[in-house]
Amino acid sequence: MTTPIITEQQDLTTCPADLAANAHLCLEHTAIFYGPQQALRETSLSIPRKRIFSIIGPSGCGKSSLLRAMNRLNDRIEACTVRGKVLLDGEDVYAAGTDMIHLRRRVGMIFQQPNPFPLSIEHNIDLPLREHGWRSRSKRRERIERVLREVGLWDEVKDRLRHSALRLSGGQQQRLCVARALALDPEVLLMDEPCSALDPLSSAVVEDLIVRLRDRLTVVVVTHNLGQARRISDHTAFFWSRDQMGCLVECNETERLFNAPARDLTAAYVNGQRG
Amino acid sequence: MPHEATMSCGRDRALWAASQAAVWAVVLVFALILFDLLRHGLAGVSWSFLTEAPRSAGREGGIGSILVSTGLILFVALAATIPLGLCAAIAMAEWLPSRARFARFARMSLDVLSGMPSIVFGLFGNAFFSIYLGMGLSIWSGGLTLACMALPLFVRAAEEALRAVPESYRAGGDALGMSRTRTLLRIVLPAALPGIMAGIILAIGRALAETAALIFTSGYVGRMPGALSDSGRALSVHIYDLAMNVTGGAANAYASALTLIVLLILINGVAVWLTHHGLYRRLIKT
Ligand SMILES: Nc1ncnc2c1ncn2[C@@H]1O[C@H](COP(=O)(O)OP(=O)(O)O)[C@@H](O)[C@H]1O
Ligand SMILES: [Mg+2]
Repeated sequence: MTTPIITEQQDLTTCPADLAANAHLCLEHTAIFYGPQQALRETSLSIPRKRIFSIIGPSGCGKSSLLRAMNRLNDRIEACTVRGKVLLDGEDVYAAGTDMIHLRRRVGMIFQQPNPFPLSIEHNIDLPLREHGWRSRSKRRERIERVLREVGLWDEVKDRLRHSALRLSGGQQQRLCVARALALDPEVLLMDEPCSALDPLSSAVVEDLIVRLRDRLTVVVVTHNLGQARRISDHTAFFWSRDQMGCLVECNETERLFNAPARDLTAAYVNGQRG
Repeated sequence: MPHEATMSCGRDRALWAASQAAVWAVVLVFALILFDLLRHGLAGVSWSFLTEAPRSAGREGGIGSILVSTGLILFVALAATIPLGLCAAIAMAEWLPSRARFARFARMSLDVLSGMPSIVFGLFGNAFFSIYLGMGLSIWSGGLTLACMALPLFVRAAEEALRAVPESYRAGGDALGMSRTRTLLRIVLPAALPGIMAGIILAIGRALAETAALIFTSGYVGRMPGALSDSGRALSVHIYDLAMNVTGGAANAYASALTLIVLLILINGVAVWLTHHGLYRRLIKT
């Protein structure tokens, strides 16, 4: 096994300077630990505004951990500590006194396994809206219809809004989860392998949906599907795992990363020779 | 149900036959008890039996005052068990896992408590509630003693119900900017409600069936209680007394026992109906 040497001088792991200027999310020396075990090596990364940013790499290289660090979802995991900074519009989300509710409203999350609540379709979106202080019922209804239309679910479910969301198919459930997240008007949407639990058809529908979000909000999507990363994303970060610790290998415009990777390891991975 | 064709060998068949026989045995025991109760007790049960006060130490008259006492004791027991138990279950399922040692200790205490013979609870209730807290032989004292007995059962059932709620619901609540408390109240608790209801039924069942713990705490005064500080005779105590201490009390003992069983079956039925129709429909579970 040839381990590529990542030299510190030649820094390929941050996005080019012109993109960094437009950064929406910035990781500065972010490192993640579970107890004493480090899961992610110090990583610095800029994620451009209103673009689709994909994260690829083999299982266990800390992609999910990194994604969850971006809106502090790993706060519930006692053992998990995050060092360094995660800047959202220049402000560290890990700073003391961060308003978590506000943070999560700005940065939404979609999980690998669709997780609608055991409520009706309508209630799944209504509940978070009410929790965020939407008093007017008619305004909430309007918003529910709008987001369901946005994810292409309205025509499929408009006659059974009061039915259980758990009776929807996997793909419909995932789109409902996206609608639910969009209802809160987030600036950033984090998606952790949003298609990998879906059949190919549903997967394609969700993929189209992600593409439609470009220019509207910043999407960070973890995917195992290299073709998908290539099709939908503007920028791609490639992570690898060494000594059971994840590290960023290369980050670049998607076209460049796939067609002219700077590192041998990247080339081997995107060509399917490694990983 | 295993199909004939899937049976590969004799051992499968023997096991299947044995388990089927076991099921029939269980059903048979239940049917025998019910049949016996019906045969001896049905004639005695009537509207006047259910409403009239007992006379001549219970040989004659009805069980009106005893039903009222039973209801009040049960009410006190549940009013203490449910809020306290729910808080404890939430603490153990939602907040304590991060403090594993303490949680394990709490769980162990509950398990020991739930395995304790009821006579021990009776003695404790008598010493603590009746004498130390000065409640005497009263409905308060009996109800609170029952609460001590039912609490461990209820806490464990409610805790299991909360744990069975998928972690992804909690993550979903977090990701939508709901605080942990709001997620708990709006998503996790409703999802756990059927299991929590089952815990309440378990608690009621144990409380209704209890005799030993009540003799020393709520006493055996058969009069209609005027207040919660009065002594009150529970149905199970009444049955015990009629069967053991009152000659010629057998007929009314059977009628009372039949009432108790029907009450238990009714409560079970209502709970099942509630969980499947009322609550499930509200939560729209599939
Ligand atoms: N809750 C956790 N507790 C302890 N270790 C964890 C936890 N979650 C993830 N890890 C560890 O962190 C590393 C990265 O995991 P993860 O972020 O899920 O990787 P990926 O999403 O790239 O597959 C793995 O070695 C995993 O074992
Ligand atoms: Mg993952």
